[in-house]
Amino acid sequence: MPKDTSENEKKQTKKPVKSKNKSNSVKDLNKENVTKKTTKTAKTTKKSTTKTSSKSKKEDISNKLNTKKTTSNKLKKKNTKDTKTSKSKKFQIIEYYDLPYSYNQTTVKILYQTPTTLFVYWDISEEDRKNYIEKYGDEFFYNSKPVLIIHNLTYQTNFEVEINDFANSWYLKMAEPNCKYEIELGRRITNLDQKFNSNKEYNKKAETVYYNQYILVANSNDIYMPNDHILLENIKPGTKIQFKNVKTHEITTKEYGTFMFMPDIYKLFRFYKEVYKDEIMEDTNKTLLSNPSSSSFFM
Amino acid sequence: MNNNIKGYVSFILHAHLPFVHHPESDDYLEEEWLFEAISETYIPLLINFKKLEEEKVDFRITMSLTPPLLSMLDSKLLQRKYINYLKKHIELCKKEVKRTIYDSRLNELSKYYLNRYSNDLHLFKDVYECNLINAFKHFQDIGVLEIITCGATHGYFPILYLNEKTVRAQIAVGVQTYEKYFGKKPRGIWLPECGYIPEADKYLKEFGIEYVITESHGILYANPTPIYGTYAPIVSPEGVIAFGRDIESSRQVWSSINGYPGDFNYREFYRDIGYDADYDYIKPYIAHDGVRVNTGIKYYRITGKTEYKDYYNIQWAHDSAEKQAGHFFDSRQKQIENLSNYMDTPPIILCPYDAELYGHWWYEGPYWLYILFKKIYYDNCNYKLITPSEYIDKFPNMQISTPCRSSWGANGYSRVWLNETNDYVHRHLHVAGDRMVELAHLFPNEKKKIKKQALNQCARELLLAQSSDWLFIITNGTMVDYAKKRIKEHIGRFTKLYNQIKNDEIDETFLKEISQKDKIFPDIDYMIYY
Repeated sequence: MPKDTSENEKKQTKKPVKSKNKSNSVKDLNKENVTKKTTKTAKTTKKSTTKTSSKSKKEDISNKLNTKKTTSNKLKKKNTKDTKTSKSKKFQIIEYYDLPYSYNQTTVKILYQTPTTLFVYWDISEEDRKNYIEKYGDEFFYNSKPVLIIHNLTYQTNFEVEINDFANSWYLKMAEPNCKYEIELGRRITNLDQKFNSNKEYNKKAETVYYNQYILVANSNDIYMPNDHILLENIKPGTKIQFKNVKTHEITTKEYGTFMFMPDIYKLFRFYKEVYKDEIMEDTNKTLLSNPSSSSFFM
Repeated sequence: MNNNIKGYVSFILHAHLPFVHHPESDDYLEEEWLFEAISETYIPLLINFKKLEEEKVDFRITMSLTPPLLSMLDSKLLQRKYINYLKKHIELCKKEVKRTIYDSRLNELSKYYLNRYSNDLHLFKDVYECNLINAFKHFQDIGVLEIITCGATHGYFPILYLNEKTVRAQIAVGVQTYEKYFGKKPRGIWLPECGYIPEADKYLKEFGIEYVITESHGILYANPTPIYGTYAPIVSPEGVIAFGRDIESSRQVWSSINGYPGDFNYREFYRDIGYDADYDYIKPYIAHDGVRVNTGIKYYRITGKTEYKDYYNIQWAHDSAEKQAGHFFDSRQKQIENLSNYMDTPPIILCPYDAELYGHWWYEGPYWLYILFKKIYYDNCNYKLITPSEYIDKFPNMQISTPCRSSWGANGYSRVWLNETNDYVHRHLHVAGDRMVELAHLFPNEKKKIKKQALNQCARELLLAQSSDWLFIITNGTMVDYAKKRIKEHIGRFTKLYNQIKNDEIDETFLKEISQKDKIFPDIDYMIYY
């Protein structure tokens, strides 16, 4: 089956730990296996740190099966089709696509999953890898560990999480919903052993590094985490609220205190929360009618 | 009817299916999603609207008809395939009438299905002239139905917005598609998956959208806290109005524990002759590869929490629907009576549902709506039906507040569309989005015909890859292969074209073929990404 070869980026499989990594020989292997293998490792690691991926292993296996099935089904389909109808003559190009493992771009992107869970994915381009090696020595990726620094821009706080070179994405638990966040991908020097020093001798250009030194790789976009509760704490005596007439654009201001009924309405919502607790809080996507997601057609 | 109106109830049905269109083969079972939805939901809704119109019942309902759904309803190919689907069903029903002769109750039911599918064929060809869009438009034109739009391909904004231009394009194409079919601008939009982000407001405004629908906590967790909760819309600082889903009424219908669709007299969805009948007998009517699938012919009622299922009885099912319509009717009266003690403005109870719940999942749903609307019109009642637009026109004064980032998926945020099963997709969607913007800037207002076509097709492939449906299906675990294949195909086609355009070596045969396959938004202009 002719593969779409225009996607050069595919070949840039990530090999961060240079000397130790088995993946030097990986190039010769089937690309898809490499991808799967890497992802699997990544997911297992994630599990141990964030407790989010309970099914991941099973999922990976079934993914593998599914992929195979699709491919063979597709083959079958195309074959029968070509001999079957004249209509199919309109469609002669056999298409086969795989998603590239990397786009060879240095990037860090973050998204929120829930008010307290942030998803981050990243990639480092070959060029940047080379630059780091040029700057810090051949063993740079071996002697440093990838880290994420999470900046809470609302409260001006930050914390650091050590990740690993097999992963290309991560889930992070955040303590504070309703805040603005940004993440840095960086590396921390963890190893100044013999190898590293000897490397320095023949790589004169390399910059001196010190233990625990931090080197920034890239900054993410910033995002606001969603709010997760009724903001009653913001309502204080005298707090003003605005009304707008959407036809005339006239704006009027009133005080919360003038709406005596408001606590009653919100009592009602707390009541609902209690009554429908089991359904609203349900941590599954599969309950038939309790999840009115708009694709319920396929359930 | 009563002049003592204390509040309003607004029904919103969100009609959406992902774009599934395979001119290259008749083997794609996924095309039947549309056919099932037409026979079980769209035509039954139209029939009931028509009955209400003929009985001069003044009712109000709002529906979002999404751009992919409109595009499929407008496809001559899919219309032909739907007719074939019906003919096949009629043929099967005729066999069923013969086969079930040994049991009079079963035989009655098989005749009912024969009649039903024959009627669908007649309506579709002779009455609607294959044009269901116009059939819905008719009810908008006579003022009982408000049709709103949706994102171009149901792309989930809270994931796409890292590149805001991709959100803008979802909105732009959603509005353009609406205008093409309905000849005016939509006043409201169903945000795909109710995925609200404040960043989209400026684009909604840009394209003239007045209001959005959010999940309950989109309003309840808004900032500052809305004094009326979900019982009145709020307006964002950018000027977009948001209506929030009412918890009580939606749970009455949706609840997995005691929701209406679980009534024991209702039709059992999971007992279908596609699974129950002899394999050799049913084989011509199931999947081409011999896998058993639903046919839509179902003879049993839910009966109870038992494996033993009793035959479906249409009269009993109707009795239950009428009883439940009465319950819903009374519950809203009480709710509004209670609320009117607290509020100085008439409350609006917003009841948004998946359209496909009505008829496809809850077979008796369209009939339930019909009975309910009649009751609201004829019986003594403290509320009226209203559309969001009418409510805005009547009560334009609303609190300024920013809705909370939210969705209507399980847990209320992004987990359904971003979790361990599908998170590998997002980087591809983001890169493709960035590349589309890059192309628009590299080749603005392209004059060369082929190149322009290629750029427009790139935009289509990107939009199709962005459908939230693929992510949902992967999470949900059924039909996963198909969803993954679609993501790969659209990203693959996009990337191939992207490279060809940049290298100025467009493969015209390839372009022509994928333009036939992914034939959606014929008038798209890639400059929306500029």
